[in-house]
Amino acid sequence: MIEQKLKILSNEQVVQVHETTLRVLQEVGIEVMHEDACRIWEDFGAKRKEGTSRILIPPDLVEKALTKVKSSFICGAREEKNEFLLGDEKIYGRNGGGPGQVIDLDSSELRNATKKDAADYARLVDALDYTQIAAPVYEQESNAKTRDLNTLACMIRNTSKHINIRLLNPGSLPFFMQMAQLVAGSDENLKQKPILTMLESPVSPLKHPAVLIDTIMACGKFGIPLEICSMPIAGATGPVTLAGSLLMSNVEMVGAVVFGQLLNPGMPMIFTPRIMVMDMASGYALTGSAENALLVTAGVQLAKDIYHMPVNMHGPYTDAPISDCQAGIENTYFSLLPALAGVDILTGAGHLQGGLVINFAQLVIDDELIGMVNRCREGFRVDEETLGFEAVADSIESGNLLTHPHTLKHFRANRFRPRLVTRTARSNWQAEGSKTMAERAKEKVKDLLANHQPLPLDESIEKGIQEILNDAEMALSEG
Amino acid sequence: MESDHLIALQESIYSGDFEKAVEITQNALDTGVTAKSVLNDGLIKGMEKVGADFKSGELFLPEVLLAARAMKAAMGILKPQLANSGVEPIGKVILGTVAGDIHDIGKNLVGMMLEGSGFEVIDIGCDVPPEKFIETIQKEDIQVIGMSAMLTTTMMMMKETIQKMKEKDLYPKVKVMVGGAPVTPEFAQDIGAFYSSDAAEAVDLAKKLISLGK
Repeated sequence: MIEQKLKILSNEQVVQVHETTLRVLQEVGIEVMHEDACRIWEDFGAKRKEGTSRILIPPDLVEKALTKVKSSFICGAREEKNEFLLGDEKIYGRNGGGPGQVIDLDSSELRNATKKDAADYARLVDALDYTQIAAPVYEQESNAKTRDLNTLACMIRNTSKHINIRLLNPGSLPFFMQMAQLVAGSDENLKQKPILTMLESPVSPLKHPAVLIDTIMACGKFGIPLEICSMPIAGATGPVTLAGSLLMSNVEMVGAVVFGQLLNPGMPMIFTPRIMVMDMASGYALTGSAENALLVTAGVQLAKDIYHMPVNMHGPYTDAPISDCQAGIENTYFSLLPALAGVDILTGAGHLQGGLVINFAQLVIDDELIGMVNRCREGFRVDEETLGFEAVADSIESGNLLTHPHTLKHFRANRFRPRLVTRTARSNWQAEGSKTMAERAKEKVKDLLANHQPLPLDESIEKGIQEILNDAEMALSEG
Repeated sequence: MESDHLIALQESIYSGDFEKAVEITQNALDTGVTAKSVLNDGLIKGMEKVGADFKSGELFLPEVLLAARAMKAAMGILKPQLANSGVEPIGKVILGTVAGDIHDIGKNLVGMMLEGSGFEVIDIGCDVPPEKFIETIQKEDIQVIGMSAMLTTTMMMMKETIQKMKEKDLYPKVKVMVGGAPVTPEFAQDIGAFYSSDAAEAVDLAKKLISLGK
């Protein structure tokens, strides 16, 4: 682990953001678009602005709730080897999820995702080395009302890794919990080793929509980790200054974390500030700019130094529409900065165009990038042994150190070996077809999809999933 | 004298000075410039320059919005005069974010830009069910509606709204514009709507659709 984490804000500045957050929560408050939740807030001691659903939260309530936050917890998986302890100082990769469109592997055209794409995407993640958390692409073929549930089922079948998914239809929530319990085996198992993390978002400026509240309540009850993902657009739905939008997202997230911790103290939550930046020349909300990367890095500092929570950040992330140099540049700084700051989860492998598009080839490139970034975060050892005084002294006689005992002892350690980059003579590269990294990535995708099979699902679980899907279809399809 | 007023009016629009825009509009009308001329040779000309400079990257979005606000303020004075002299407004557009979706920044941007270009905008908010669109279309004399969505799922409500419009025989009589992060030109075409990729393009599209309806 690197000895010094990257800090772009001073300790005083971080505290200032937090203190201003407390002030906004108390004086401006959050619009809680959920009547029951408004009453619950009042019972906890928050004030309701008369005649509105705006909740003003006193600082002592905030501070009290924040002491309940868990700084690490187990993320379970269908297969034991895929479990991990989030918050253990390692970086976990999470592929980009959410879009309904993919870039076709053969034609390179953008098209709607099919059921086969959804299964392949999960299976591909299952096969990768540095992506430990699987998030979905949403096929556009099934009934939209039960699409999220069908997608969850598809992921359970096609990967035995930890799953990250959000609701598309708020009505699916109880069925999500049923399915999670089924796979975990029991209520208690699910709490100990939740097989999935969910994500829900405040809406900027300063709103907590009903689906966010319902998801906090359900995740708290069933012990499922929840990412609170706030995405103000600096200059549009958040202040134009980077500091101002950092504050805005912080207020929205802290408000949600406090609510979760008051309801279910210690519920696993993940700080997920993903601030966007309005490009004032075009009106587009950027996700891959240098300013975005700065905000992500500052967000890690807040999560770690003030809130002591696991933090999930965008990265790799890019505004590029295809897997080109822009994607490479943006993805790299967007991963490396938060990684060096101490991020726990890096999200976005496989995304293009600000998360609107999935490219399978980009996923395998980004997986390798996360491997490199991980390696950077590990740093290197400096002590008597690694300094190798003897090796230095011996080198004047031998002229090189290729077979020196010190070399033989250490040469396999601490070298990250990427598989997709080219490290060969031009003539060799030409002999292999002069392929770009994107072309090599495409080949790797085809190879993995042709050969990788995930751990099969128990028949009894498959049957149970089918029953839940049938029930949901009946319950949700009408109206 | 007349052209002095109109040039100053163009400048006040361009610089987004709404107080000045209102003042000059009033002065121009008081000194006998026709409402039609104030609109076409002053306000719209000013906005056209704003649009052109935004497209070329010289002006930024907040400046465009300030210009649109100035235009809207001036229109407040001009509207009754225009009605008296029989000049029709450019058009009337209903805007809403579809059911299940409360993201409204994109829709609001389009609304401001449309108003700034002389359209009358009826903003029916966010999380708008198809019935509300229909009800508003039926109540107002509407040629164009605009629907916005931020999520891949709520995007499907656009299709449903158009379906409901067909059932009430309002489609394709009323033209439908759609936009939002997940929306693509192909999707728009599939559901029988017109796509624009940003607020400035939406204004051009609305103008085109209004002229189609005439």
